[in-house]
Amino acid sequence: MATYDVTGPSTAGARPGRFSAGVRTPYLVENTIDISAINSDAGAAQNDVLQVLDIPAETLVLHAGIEVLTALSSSVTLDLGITGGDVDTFVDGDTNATGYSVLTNTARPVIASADTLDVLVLSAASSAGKIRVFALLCDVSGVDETDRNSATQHDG
Amino acid sequence: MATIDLRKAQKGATGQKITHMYPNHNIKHEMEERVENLEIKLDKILNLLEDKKEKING
Repeated sequence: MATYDVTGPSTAGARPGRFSAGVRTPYLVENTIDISAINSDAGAAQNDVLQVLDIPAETLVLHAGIEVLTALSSSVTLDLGITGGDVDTFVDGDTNATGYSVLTNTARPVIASADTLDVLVLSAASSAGKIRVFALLCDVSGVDETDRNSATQHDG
Repeated sequence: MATIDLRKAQKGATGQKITHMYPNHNIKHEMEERVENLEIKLDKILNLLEDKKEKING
């Protein structure tokens, strides 16, 4: 067993700061949806998929959730996730009542390819309610993914 | 079951809004501005000193 130091030539302990060029910071993206006003004021049918947020490729979703601002119709539950992937990776069966959704154990994935974050309307149709969907995102794409050093250069 | 695209602002949706972690994310902070000005002044002083040194030494 060997230990290889491949941490690169940067100064030990250095961290990117706000004043460093090219610094990345997480950012909040949100979208507020008035369920009663969508679909020509008909609201959402059961099993409708609401595409609400764009997630760029190679993005770490630090947290995502739903805040129910106005209660939805009775019996409605909501999932938040990726259609065609894990549909309830962030929120699983949030109730129709006002308040923030509960974080799931599967939250905080890296989204490799650009996708959308979708709300899945479950258990019943909803002609009422207002929700705010939010996500805290960070670009984790590689800054330098090229190995330019030969073994001699590296080990020397 | 339908898929409804609500990503852009429309009736019933505010559209996606992005909030950066720093309010002045794309604007130079006052302190950065001051440090930059000080650097420019310091560079001028150093250049003048260099010029003077060259004149004295011929």
